[in-house]
Amino acid sequence: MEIDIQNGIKDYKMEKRKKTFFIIILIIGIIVFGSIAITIGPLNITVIEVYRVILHKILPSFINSVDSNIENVVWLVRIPRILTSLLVGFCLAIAGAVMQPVLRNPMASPFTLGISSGAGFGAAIAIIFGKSIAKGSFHVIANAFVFSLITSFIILILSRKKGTTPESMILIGIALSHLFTAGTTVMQYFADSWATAEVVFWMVGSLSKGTWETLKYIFPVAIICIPFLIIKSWELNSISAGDDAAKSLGVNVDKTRIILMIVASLITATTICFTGAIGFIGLIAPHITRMIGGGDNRFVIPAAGLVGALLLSLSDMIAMNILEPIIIPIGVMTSFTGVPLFIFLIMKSRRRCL
Amino acid sequence: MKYLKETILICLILMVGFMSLGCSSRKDNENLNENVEFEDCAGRKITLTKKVERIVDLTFLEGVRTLIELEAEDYLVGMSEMDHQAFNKDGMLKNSYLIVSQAAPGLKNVVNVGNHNEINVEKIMSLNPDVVFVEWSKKDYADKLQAQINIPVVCVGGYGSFNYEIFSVVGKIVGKEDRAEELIEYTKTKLEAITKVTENIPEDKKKKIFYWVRPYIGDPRTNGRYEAFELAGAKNVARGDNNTPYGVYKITKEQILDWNPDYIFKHSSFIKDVEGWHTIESIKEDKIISGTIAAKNNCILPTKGHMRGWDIATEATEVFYLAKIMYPNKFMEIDVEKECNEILKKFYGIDNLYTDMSNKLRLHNIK
Repeated sequence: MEIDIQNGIKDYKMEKRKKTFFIIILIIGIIVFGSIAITIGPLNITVIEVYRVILHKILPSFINSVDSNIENVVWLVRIPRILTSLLVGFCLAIAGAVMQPVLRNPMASPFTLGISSGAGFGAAIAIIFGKSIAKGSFHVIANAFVFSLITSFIILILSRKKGTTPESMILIGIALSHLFTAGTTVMQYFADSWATAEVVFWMVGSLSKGTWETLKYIFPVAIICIPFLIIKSWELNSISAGDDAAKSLGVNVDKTRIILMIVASLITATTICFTGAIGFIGLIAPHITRMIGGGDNRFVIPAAGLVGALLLSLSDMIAMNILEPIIIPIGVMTSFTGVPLFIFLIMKSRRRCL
Repeated sequence: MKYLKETILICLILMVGFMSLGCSSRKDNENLNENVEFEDCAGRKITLTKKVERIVDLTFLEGVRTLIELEAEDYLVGMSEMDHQAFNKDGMLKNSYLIVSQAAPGLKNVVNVGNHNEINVEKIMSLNPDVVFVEWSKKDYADKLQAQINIPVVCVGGYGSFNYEIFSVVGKIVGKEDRAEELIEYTKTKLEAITKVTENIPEDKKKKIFYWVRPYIGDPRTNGRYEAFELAGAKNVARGDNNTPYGVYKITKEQILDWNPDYIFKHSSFIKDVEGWHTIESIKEDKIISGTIAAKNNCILPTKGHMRGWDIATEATEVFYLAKIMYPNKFMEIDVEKECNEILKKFYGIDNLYTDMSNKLRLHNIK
């Protein structure tokens, strides 16, 4: 028996080391990727020039800058875009990683719950009718944000009446997704061609709006919400085991479910209102993570975020360069890059089971 | 009761009489002595067996515009919701400048037959048209609709600014072939005044231009295929090889800087800027764009661009406008406003239409 306990501890430590190693690999991967991605672009900028710009910003007294055009491109275009893709990928993946165990549904994601559709509906109102709660360059963003939150609140309010079961939440979410999609379609149907095209551009997502200004809005929300979700991951583990099991461990299941959904929705709304609907990251990043490291949410939440960050930024780099100068829509590219990887992992994990 | 049979008989005779009148008034719509056969803009064989006097248009203004230009707008008895909006200035179009509504405001009362994607077939048939126009790209739809309503459906339009086929086809349909030919020859002659000069500009001396379509400054898009620029002697930096997409596509601001155009022409088809779009001033102030030659030389300017399809008339005026801006010394003797007013009067029959358009769209003032 002692040998069994010893072996059990050994296996547990090995598992923990494996997960830690995985997270470290992901962090290194992101750093390496970012370091390379920043040197790639249409303008002919050498690697040395790129890093001189960064060092000049950090140590202006010690490092001279380069030509102002190069400095502007690196500092105002490339760096914010890469950071935005990393942050948005991180946020969307974590939102999905939380929604799936909360709703006990592996297909749960910001897309399937209608949050993206709600955002698209709000964006369409602003684009087609010019009606928004904000003016100027925020008129689409504000509408998208508000309507994505409206979707979440409707899910929560209605599911409270029925009892906050995962099934009721997901069914309401799916229904709302269809409703908002239909609403957007009707507006496009009557819209002028240029407005219709603009709505389509929004619905397929874009990281072109990744600027320091955008990061100013997304980053604070992420920095507050994500640590909160990681802290709550233990309760999430309990809920994943079943409502009764969670209650027996002292978890207020209904309240926890609602709070986690609100926070996940807030992160989602804050990101997609700037980028448009970028699908698939919130769905597959958590699954990829679980296939590699298991279902412990204390590990899944941060690791899925890193997987999502890497996946989205890699997709964006491909989207920008594969048909240069044309940019492929990022929402399309995430599917093209994510799906083969996802299927590969599913097949690999099934073979293991056999 | 006594006279019931007689009453019924008289009613029947009257009914038959009225029906005959209806038939004979249809006959008055003249069968042609011989059928008119031709190919439409989608290569479909069309046969007209009677004179065309009633047309329903389901194109995206292409058909309506051409009818106005051929002085045949009275033939229009029905049009799609999108065409209807152009004359009634509803919704999204209220800020746009659509020349057809200036040229033929009376068309606002033409019957609306529904959204061009899902037209009301019964409504069309109730108007008793002789021909229905659909967009040139909807060949299969045209075949299905023709089979359904048993009325000739003609595809009109085509990609590209100076696609003269639409005049030939519509001219043949409405019996205005002479007018169509006249407009085609007139346009070619007018454009020669520009192209005879621009054709001789060496490739490396041509001005590089970037066409900024829908100016969301954080999310630029362009169109690499807009003939007016080429005819005016410019090199569209977004026009790559034959794989350049038709239509609008997205690029990055860094790409614009890399191309470093001599001119940036902002698409300006709206009287008021659309919410979220950027003005010329804000484009000039953008830190990335300000690095281009165009910004440094104050060469970020508006241009009308295409709106609701391709209008040969306004694009011809645009060629003059662009050529004079880019090569003022080569076209010193050309008075752009005078020439363009003359062109638009030829097509639309209205004086000073170009002056009105360029003031409302705030185009660059060239002398």
